[in-house]
Amino acid sequence: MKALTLKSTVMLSSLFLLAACGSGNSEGDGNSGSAEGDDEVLTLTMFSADMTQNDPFDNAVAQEILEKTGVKLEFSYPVGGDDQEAVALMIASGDYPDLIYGKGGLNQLIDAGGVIPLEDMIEENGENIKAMYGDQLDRLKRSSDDPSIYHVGTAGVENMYLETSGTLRLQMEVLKELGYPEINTLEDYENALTEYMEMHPTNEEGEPWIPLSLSGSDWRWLITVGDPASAVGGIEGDGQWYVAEDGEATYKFQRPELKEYFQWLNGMNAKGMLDEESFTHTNDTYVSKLSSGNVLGIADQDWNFTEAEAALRADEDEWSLWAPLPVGLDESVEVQTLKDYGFTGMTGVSITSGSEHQEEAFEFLDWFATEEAQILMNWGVEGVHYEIVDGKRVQLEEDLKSAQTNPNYSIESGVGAYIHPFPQWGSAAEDSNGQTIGRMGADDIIAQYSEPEKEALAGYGADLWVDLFPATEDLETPKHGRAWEIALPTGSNVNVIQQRADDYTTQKVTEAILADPADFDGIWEEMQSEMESMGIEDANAEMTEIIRDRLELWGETE
Amino acid sequence: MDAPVNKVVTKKKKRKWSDRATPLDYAIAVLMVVVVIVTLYPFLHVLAISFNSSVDTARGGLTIFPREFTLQNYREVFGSNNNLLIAFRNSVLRTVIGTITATFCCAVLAYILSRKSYILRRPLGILLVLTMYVSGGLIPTYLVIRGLGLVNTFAVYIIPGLINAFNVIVIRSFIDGLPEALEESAKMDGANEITIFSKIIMPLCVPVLATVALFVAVGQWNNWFDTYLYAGANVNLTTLQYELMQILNNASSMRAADVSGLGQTGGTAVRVNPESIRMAITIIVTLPIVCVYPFLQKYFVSGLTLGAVK
Amino acid sequence: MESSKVLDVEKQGLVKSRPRKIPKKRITWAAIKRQKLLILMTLPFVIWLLIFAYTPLIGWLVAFQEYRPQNGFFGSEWVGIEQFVTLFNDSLFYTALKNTLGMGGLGLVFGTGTAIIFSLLLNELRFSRFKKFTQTISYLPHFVSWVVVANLVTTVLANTGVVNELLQFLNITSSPINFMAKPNMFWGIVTGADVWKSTGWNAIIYLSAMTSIDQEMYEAAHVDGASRLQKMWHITLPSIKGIIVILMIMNIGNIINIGFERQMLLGNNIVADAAIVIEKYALDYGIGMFRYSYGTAIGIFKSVISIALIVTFNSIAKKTSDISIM
Repeated sequence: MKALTLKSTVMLSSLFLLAACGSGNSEGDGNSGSAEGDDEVLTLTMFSADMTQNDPFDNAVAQEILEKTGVKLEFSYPVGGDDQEAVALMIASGDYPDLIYGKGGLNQLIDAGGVIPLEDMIEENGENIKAMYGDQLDRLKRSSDDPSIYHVGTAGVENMYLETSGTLRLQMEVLKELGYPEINTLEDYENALTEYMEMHPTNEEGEPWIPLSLSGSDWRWLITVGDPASAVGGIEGDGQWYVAEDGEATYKFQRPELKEYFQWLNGMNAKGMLDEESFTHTNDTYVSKLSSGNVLGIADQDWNFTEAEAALRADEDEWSLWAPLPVGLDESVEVQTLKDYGFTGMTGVSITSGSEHQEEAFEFLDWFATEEAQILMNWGVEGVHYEIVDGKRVQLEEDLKSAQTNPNYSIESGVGAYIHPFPQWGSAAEDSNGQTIGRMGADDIIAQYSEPEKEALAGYGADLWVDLFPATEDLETPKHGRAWEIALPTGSNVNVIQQRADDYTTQKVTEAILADPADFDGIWEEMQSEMESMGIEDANAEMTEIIRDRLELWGETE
Repeated sequence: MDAPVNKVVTKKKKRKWSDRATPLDYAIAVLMVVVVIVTLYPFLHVLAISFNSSVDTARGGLTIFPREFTLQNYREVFGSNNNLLIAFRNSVLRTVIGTITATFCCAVLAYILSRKSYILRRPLGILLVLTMYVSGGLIPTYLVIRGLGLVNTFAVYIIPGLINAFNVIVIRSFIDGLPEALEESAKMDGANEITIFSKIIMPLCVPVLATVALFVAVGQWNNWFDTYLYAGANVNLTTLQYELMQILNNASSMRAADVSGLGQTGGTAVRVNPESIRMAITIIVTLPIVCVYPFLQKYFVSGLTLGAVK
Repeated sequence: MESSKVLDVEKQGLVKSRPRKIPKKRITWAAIKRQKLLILMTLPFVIWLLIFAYTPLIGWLVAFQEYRPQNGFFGSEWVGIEQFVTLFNDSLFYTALKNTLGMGGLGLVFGTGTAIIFSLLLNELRFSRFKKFTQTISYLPHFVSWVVVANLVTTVLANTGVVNELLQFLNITSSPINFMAKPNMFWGIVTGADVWKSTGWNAIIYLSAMTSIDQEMYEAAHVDGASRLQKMWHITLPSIKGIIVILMIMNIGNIINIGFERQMLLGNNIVADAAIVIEKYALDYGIGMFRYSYGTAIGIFKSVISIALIVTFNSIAKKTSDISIM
């Protein structure tokens, strides 16, 4: 069996020749949807890069969609897990479905002429889409050179943030023992660990604690070392970049904030408080360490340690779960964890040039932006998945149970199955009755907390962990969205230089963290000059230009 | 000191030069026991994980026994898919047909290449060998196969895999090692190439053909990528590996759904760790091969005597 | 006379690795007529090879372009050898090349070596049930994915792993060695894992070659009083020499095609300089960035190296032992 994480990359490595002989022979040879004889049922074929399981489109929600729109979807999806490859093949053969969610392959599809511009249709028939995106419609435009809109969907327009990800975390046990101290700086964080370990040098079995563990051996370095460095430094989520208000971009490893965080990690390592296998163990080993309850501090994205959480919950050892904390370099840093980046759907569903049902397909997509559709997608069918109590939708008991126990709930019920990648309102949007469209509200999250979590939160006088963080309303929405979402031009300098710099800094920062503290500055300086010689300033300049272009495109410059 | 090749030996020979095991035999046996332990371990480890609760597996430290026994991982694999029967049938069909046809084609080509006086031997050899080191890449290959109308046909499992340079050369080198005397006498009897091939060479090649057949069979059995690429749209052509790949894929990306905020359904059902699914699948696909192996093995371990097949 | 008899056996052509006379080949009408059946049999294979292996190579032309999907093949700019110039000016490419050839070479030497030794020993194993059992078991790791193997390897080599405990128990080292953090050990670790995973599988082909050894030779040698080791050395090994050399030549061509899965799974950010290989480089800097032309150029470079290697080693082998794959 091939490792799935590799996404059949062995095959991919031989994928040198996209459409070498292929583009331009899109004959549209009958592969597009065909109206099936009876009663105006229109079958639209659709490729979805994020689908993972065949969906026959026969669940309750799908039937409702068919009834409301007369459209039946016939899905195809990348089985090897590699959507780029699937898109490349479609381009090469010219066999397109009616609708494509090409994800990262969107630009290739546009370049190859596989998908059509939608702005005229939006202008003429896209009432719902226009209403939904409002002034953020500009954000769907491709680039200043080609300011057309080729896709709709993938991200909600109005979002709320009820959970965090990517912050430093501490075991709740530690917080409880220390009487729920405020932990807002690296110093607080380190002191908490030190104090706790003085009180309890070992765990109950007499084994030593692991004060802080990271998963830095593979690509996860980016999420457990690189991203937390930005987060602690108060830098917003621009990936490998730091973007100033005026759109000036700097490769983030040139920033002093990053240096300060890594220097702190270096100190932690020197004091023996950083797991010495942080950069060599595999992620599975990391997860098993976390699952043992022996790791006091982590810095990770939520989704990377769900297995460890599940194991601890299964042991009813919830005090060993980790509380997310608004840790900054010092008191002056405002942590950007809950920032609202505005509409961020840089890719989405497109209509193909070969489709014989472009108009119908667009109408179908536009329908998704209606309230009726959004309630259906998020809540399901009235009487089957929810009922109306006092004018509000309430999820049915058996549906809730099914959602919590059936791993195939989404595809079998249809609830939630068609939110992504289609146009969607977003979790914070409200319907005409003032009820949120999203089914998961604050109450639902609180209901899922275990007793220890509730107790710890009570210790901080909060209901949700996000209450500890600077609130979304207080953080300005960046005008450029998120830098990491920008698809860099193929073969551009910034593309190549960034890849090289990413490879290099990952190694060099690791070296610096593990070095003798006396050598840290030297290594950092060496890294800076090496980046210069790679042409990092050229990359910065090019990136700045790209971001300023985007600001202009989005009408964000005054 | 006559060459024994000319003798006719009609039965399998046992090594009779020493009848009792020597210390050397025991030393080898002990070494082999070590090899067995070292090579069996990873497989037992996989077996253990496949029968272990996936939540518990996350805790690590599992060796060769499941700690929390469960059939859940297998249930997940078999329960989530309705195409497994068709898929199994197709996998068996492609393995059997693909192995027979490819082994035959490779043998014929190997035979041709083993004819020393053949005028086209060298150009043909070069044409063949180069195929091992050049590849036009995925997309041009796809376009060729599509151009031939093989997409969504069963033939796509068979025809593109008919010749494998590596296997051809292995068989050829085996034929080169056969005593020339045999076929020379046949030639004198007026046999043509086809007769020499089928009546003399092939029977002698049984061990190498069994080896090549094993390679081809394992390749056919394990291949899911061609199903995906060329036959994914036709459910009647699906294969076991392809279906299993989908199941694994699905298990992995259910978690990915949580990642990208796609899991907006409020569903909190505990999902089986994709690694556990992977292990169950490894066992499911390896088992048939392990079962078939002893049948092939007798062709190349027992040791035929050359003269036996005159 | 005693011990040289074994060698005599070899000399008399019983062990088929001796040169044979190859008749002069000249393409004449007479020859064509005489061999028309063979030529007829060749035809379908040539057609197959041309269609399935060579037609797709037309795609190689994009390596000489700055290929952009929007322009298509015919609309893309022709840039000559610019892609190759970029490639040869990239220092990372040379690091990747060094690692690829290094690990490929080690894998070839140790992979082949262990497989031969293992098959020789297994062939000598007397307990026939155990022999079959051992062989069946030994090839199982072939089916275990690299993900699993990488996990096992890092567990075994971890600070608290078996190896470190053993070293400390034997007082070879006082504090645990973090093997996975040592760039100079990385090639060795990959090779070791490779050997573990593939020895049994690789041995299958040698074992099958051994079955064609005439048992009479062993008996003749036995009569002459040859020891087991002598027989192994003078009969078994020379008998499979042909297949050993053939596999060596073919695999030498592939030392640049070693994939990158195991290096990626076993590697980490500390040993990255020792772990990057050509195919990972091609992925990250070629297709991963949609630089199709660059990726194709790397592919062509690899093919050229492969072919140069096999041509070289094939002619060496042909001169020294008259074994050739072409």
